[in-house]
Amino acid sequence: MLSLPCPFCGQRDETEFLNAGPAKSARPNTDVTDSKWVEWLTVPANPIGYVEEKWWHARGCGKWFTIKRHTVTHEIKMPDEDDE
Amino acid sequence: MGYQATIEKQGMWAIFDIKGDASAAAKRIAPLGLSLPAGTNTAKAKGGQHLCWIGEDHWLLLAPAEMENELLERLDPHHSSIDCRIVHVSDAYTLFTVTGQQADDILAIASPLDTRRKNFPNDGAAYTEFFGIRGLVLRRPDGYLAAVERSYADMISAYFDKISTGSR
Repeated sequence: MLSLPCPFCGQRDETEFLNAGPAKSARPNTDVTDSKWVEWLTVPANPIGYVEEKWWHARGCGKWFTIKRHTVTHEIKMPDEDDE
Repeated sequence: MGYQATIEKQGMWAIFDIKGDASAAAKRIAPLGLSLPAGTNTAKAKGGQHLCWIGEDHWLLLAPAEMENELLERLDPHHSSIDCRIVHVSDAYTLFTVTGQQADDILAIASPLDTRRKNFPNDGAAYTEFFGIRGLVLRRPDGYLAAVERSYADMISAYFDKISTGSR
């Protein structure tokens, strides 16, 4: 089970949270090509390494926050921490 | 297997949901003689009232039902110039007390909350998962007080019966 760092409550078990998917890069400009738009909209990054994700503390304080999670080890880091 | 714990469904409590920034909330509750809790996920208790800091700019005030009219008058939810929303939500919750030597064991089954005192101190109060739904857990000297949405009360009572008696 994951233990996630809620900014308000501190470490809590994964079952108190809902995953809200990848924290996307900035929305492309309106002059972007269709293929680039579809890629941004529907293709999540899936590297071997850290991905940024949004989580909602739905069964807790209700806070939304972003973390970095390693897709292999599930190690959790804050977005401002280095990947290494 | 049974547990040495007593679980009791409580009658009505007076409950108020308070949202706003801390300075505004402090002004609104000042007429009650209460101050805001110092730490997140803790409660300030006075005269049977428990003011729980349960989210960012979010507090829940619990008090015995007989104080409800007095609290309504003092908090004056609908007529304040201070930008802090107070909603009377007594009907929305059902409360349970879990007391006794093995109250911690019952809580450990009901919730993933880490109730060790270094993580959930004597004045601890937090929303957490409670039998799969969102519930408020408040530590008391004799055990715990838990509040869940009223529509789930029968389900929670049934879960408590199952785990406290060991019936399957």
